[in-house]
Amino acid sequence: MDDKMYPKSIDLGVPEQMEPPEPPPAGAVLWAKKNLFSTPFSSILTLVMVGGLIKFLWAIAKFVLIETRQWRAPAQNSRLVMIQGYPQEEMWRIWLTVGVVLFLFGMTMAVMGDRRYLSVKTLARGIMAGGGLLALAFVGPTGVEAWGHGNLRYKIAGIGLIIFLIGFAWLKIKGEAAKEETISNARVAAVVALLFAANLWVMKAPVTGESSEGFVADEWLRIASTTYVPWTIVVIIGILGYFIGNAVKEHPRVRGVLVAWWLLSVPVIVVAFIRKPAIDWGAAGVQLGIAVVFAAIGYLVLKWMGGPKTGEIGRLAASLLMLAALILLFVPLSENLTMARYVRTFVMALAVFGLLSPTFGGTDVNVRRLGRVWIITALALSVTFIFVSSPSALPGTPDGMDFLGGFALTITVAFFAILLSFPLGIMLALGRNSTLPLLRTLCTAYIELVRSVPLITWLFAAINLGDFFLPESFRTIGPAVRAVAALTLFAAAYFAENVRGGLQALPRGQYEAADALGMSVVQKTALITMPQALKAVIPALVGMVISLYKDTSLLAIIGLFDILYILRNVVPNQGQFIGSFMENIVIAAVIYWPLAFMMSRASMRLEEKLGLGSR
Amino acid sequence: MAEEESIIKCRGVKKWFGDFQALHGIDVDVKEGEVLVIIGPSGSGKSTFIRCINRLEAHQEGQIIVDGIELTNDLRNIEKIRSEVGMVFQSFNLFPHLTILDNITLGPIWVRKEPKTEAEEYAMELLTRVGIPEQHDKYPGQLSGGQQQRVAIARALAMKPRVMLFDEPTSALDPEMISEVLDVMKELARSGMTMLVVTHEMGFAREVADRVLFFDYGVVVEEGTPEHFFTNPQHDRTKLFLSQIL
Repeated sequence: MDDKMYPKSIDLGVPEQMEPPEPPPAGAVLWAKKNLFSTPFSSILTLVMVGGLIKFLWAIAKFVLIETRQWRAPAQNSRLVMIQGYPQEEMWRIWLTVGVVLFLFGMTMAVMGDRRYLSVKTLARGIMAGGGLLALAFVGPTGVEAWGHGNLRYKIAGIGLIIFLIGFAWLKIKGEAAKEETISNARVAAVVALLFAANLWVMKAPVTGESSEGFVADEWLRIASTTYVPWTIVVIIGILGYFIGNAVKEHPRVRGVLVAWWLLSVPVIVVAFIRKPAIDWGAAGVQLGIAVVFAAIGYLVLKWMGGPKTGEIGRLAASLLMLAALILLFVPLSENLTMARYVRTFVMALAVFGLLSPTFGGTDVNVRRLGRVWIITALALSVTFIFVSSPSALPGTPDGMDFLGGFALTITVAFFAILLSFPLGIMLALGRNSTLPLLRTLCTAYIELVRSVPLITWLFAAINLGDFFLPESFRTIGPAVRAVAALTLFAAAYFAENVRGGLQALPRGQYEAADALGMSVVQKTALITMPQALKAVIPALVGMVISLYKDTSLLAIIGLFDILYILRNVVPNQGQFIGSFMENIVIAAVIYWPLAFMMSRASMRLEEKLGLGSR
Repeated sequence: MAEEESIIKCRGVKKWFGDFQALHGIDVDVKEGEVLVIIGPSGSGKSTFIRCINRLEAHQEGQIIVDGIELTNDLRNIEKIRSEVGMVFQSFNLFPHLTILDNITLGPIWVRKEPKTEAEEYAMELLTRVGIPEQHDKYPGQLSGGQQQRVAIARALAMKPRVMLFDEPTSALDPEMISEVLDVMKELARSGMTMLVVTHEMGFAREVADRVLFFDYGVVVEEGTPEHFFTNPQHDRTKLFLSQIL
């Protein structure tokens, strides 16, 4: 600490700092002795585990490489797996989406900085191991004959050998420097992506012909004969994103902007782009006009409600507006249902802003800022409404999210369910902690009811029971949207319990300190208790997010064409690939894994980052 | 003393926790600019009393009037009084997720509705006053206990309060950090702030207090100037207490 109590001139007799003793000698044998064979029991454990691991890898190698394995089933169906039957002539929308996502991904890598580095030594050894295993697998003693014909086996083994030699040469050239020199993860990812794109241009595989002997190479074609150009372009866009991210990463707002882009990306892409809404521009113009009027009137109303001189009358007026908005929900406004919903939404939104205005307004500057937020919200609400209420122009796709299928459906459902359940969960947690007995009881009952019934039951309820409880005009809603609703309502209950745990872990002193400053309940919650509670339960929340992402696989059971359904029920029924269950299930796991893994890593980094302010 | 000079008026304040009566009718007046030190054994009701003054605890009988406003269950009165009465806690209670500067400016910006730049300037001024301006962008967890308590004082002062309450501000500190906090409090007392201090620091009481109150079993046993208190206590219980801690 810089405010030392003692003046420097006094000799305090502080002992001199000395070098620590030499570290003990290192070496592979010593390391193994210390870490693997330290006691008889650990030696046995080590041997058992190593034996088991070898056995397991052997089984995997056999499974992957055995002749009858039909890896071409998922490979040839990769488009079906990813996007189901999205119309061919609209495919550019998908490619643009992939480009946007890769661009954001590249930027995120640069900005959020996976500033982790691999040493050249580790990397070169990895390359050597990969190449060596490939070579061994195809010529080695496994006796496995992949694609059992001709020279293909030796070609692949040769490629493996070349990869091995590249790694070996790299290690030798670098020599001693290999240990110190490092390469960032992002660069490794970029090179791998480029190699993948290049591979699509070069690699050819035999196409099986109709023959009684099974595998016969008729002709050699590029594996991805139609997609190598777009793939190359989007990979380059992703790398471009990395460079742009690197250029702007010093800007203080760039992180916030990036997070906002990610949050907006999926809804905007899905609703406005992949869905291809057929917008009725005349009606849209009227709706936009109404939105502008609401924005302007709302601005003036909020300016008055939250103004520095209005005081309690503003609060009262906001409450009356909320009451009016609630009554309006039950008053038939017009024959045009869309328009009625539109107006109701706006009145409700304005009422919410009005209730918040005394808290977040109060001075001219704050009120003007709140007004600006209102205008942006009103316009965004309007545009969202216009897009969502327009029917899809895609051939053969009814309303809802049924234009999506495969992995795209999985991701979209998971994203919306996570995004919507989060605020709902926070509100439920606050409700359960509320001092109002009715609200508290209702929230508790909801949480306990939802948590005590399995998710799959709720999904079926949303599909089969929904019609009974929904107003008539909502009954056209498709199964995917219903699934999102069920997942949201289900996950919200769990989120609520996690958040409540975080709130309970807060020391009482935090509430008292906020009280002593004269903060209102809303301010206390938004500024003091909720941020700390959420921070405390990040690991649990991320665990919830990951399991929600994986729970979308239940869509397959309620008859939606998600990735699992396509891989398990559609592909194995194609004449060419009858019964190809095993390889398809493995591929499903391989596709699910990276996103869940990245989420868990991201949460670890978030925890590290936020750890700074803890305690 | 003249009634209109008193900034805090307490009349027959009684408080129960369940069946246990913690305060047995407290009558205390505090004048503007006065430093009142409250001492007494633990469990004597002294903390409960000052926590009643900004309604962290609700009293059940009697009257508490702060700056002409009577404390009732009316939420607006409570918020008004709380923004005029600063409080410093034994366990600091800084907000661990905010930087030092944000800790101090939070109240002024959101409750007093001051512009951000103005609030930050004043916060830096206060941090300079408590002697740690260079720590403004750190988090509470990175500061020593004494520094945290000085930040807590700055946070309370940032609300420009008319009265400051201190609830055993040095009891959770290592001995070598007590003096840095007491120095800040002495400086504050000299600047004319009205202060109610619950403490076990008799040296501080003797040096700074205008008046000392001795609490025991929820009543004011004895009150007087520090002079009177430490040299010529009248009551037996006061004598016993002083003999135990001095």
